[in-house]
Amino acid sequence: MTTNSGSFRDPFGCILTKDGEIYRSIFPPGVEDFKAARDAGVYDKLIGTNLLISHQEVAIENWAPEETVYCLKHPRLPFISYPWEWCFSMLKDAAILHLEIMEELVADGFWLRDASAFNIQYDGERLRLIDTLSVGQRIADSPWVAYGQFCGHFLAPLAAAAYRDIRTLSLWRNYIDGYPLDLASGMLPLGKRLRPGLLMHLALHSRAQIMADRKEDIGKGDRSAGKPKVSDRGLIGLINSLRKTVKGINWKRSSEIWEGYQEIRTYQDEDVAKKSEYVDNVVKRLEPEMVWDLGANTGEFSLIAASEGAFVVSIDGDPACTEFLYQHISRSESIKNVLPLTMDLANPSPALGWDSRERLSLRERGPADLVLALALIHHLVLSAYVPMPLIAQWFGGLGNHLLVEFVPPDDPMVKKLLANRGEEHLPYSLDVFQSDFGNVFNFIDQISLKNGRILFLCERKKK
Amino acid sequence: MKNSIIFKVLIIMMIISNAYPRLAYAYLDPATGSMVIQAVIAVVAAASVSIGIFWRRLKSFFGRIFGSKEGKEHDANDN
Repeated sequence: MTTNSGSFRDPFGCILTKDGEIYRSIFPPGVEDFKAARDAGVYDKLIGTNLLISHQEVAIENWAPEETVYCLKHPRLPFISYPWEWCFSMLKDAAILHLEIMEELVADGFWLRDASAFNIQYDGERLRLIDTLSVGQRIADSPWVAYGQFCGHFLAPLAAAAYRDIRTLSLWRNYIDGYPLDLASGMLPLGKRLRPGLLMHLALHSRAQIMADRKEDIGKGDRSAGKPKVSDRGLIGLINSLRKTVKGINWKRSSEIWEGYQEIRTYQDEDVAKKSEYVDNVVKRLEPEMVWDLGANTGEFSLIAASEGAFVVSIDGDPACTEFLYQHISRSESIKNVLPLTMDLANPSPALGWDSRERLSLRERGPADLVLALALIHHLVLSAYVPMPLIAQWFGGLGNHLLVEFVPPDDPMVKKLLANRGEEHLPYSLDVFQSDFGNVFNFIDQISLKNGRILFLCERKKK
Repeated sequence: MKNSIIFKVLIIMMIISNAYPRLAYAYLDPATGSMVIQAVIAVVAAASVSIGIFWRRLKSFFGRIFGSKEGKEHDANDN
């Protein structure tokens, strides 16, 4: 039995893994809210409307922590992702999901005790709230306790990404409990900062935070006197206002280059068809449950792997590409088992949080059954200056099988990367590739394309 | 539109009462700031919810008088 490292902050309970199954222990402080929500039918309602992850109460086994009062079993999620990996619309959808749940709960006298982006995950069908214990009884006349968190986790990053720069989404890696509101507000152009919703919930909100934090007020006044109050109707109004503000934040892409990707691609249709067919055959042959498509671009090959039933984590460094794929999947009725994530593969997601153990690195969330690295390694060697042996070792730690594309040195794309570099680059040739990858993998199959590129199917050597 | 109404009323409230710069809650942590600003926003937001409810009832009332379909639908929803 292992305790999930991401759930230690919650005094109400924790997540446990036992024999590959996911359980939740509920501790004494969480019992009252849990029983109230269960008996009021709140969980059934949220699960029935696909807003909350399902659970079943199970007997408490001897491996559960001593203080466990109730034990729940949850379905296992295919992959845990973090907000620093999400595209813009995924974060926005997660925000709206929180507000939808709040609206449902407030009508029944409940609310969300927190509004953390980490509590939303993609389960292979849709985004869902995964923290059952976030549901609590509303404290009468109290302001929403998670309002500040909601603004820091959703409103601030969305506004900064849409109105300053989409790349600011990577600030999540530093601010793992949400963006400081003054930071986000200060990043906005004046015209956007003065928009009613953003002015209220970001700019004035951050001013109020700063004023409440003034040192000269320490020791003054009675903390219990004059506590701010929010009526039920006020809370509904607040949720409406937040929803309108979130929905109004739209990222207008300045670059349309990725939509014309198929036109600017340097190789021919015949090769594309052959490559697609080969990827399809490999997936059919290996029947992987989990595929990681690294350097996925707009997810062309991720979708092929997904169509054969694999769950595909589709990773690309360009937030416009992941956004494109996310919207494509959101619109699709048939393909749901793809999770697009933004990540610079020369600097993949590290372990973060308390003791660097709270949020897992990419590698710790593996291994995948199959890793796709199509038209990727020449970028890593020639643009990111990562030596070939290190790339081979890295892939060796990520998955059991690897389908890797070698792009030859005389390929137009490689020539372009080397245009201003002369001879000053890391060794890059087919011999170097085969030798370095051969140290980590066995080559089990290969196919050559007309344009000189070669696809190698590799299996990791037994240690 | 609702947001801009809330916002305008908020600004007017601030100007009239000059309350905002002197919010008298002497707390220490940023969470308190979130509570205070939220309470202020909620007062106005509550009013806009009330106006919304009143407006729907008004429409429903006239709908009933004039026997329009809309009024009947609202009645059904209210029940």
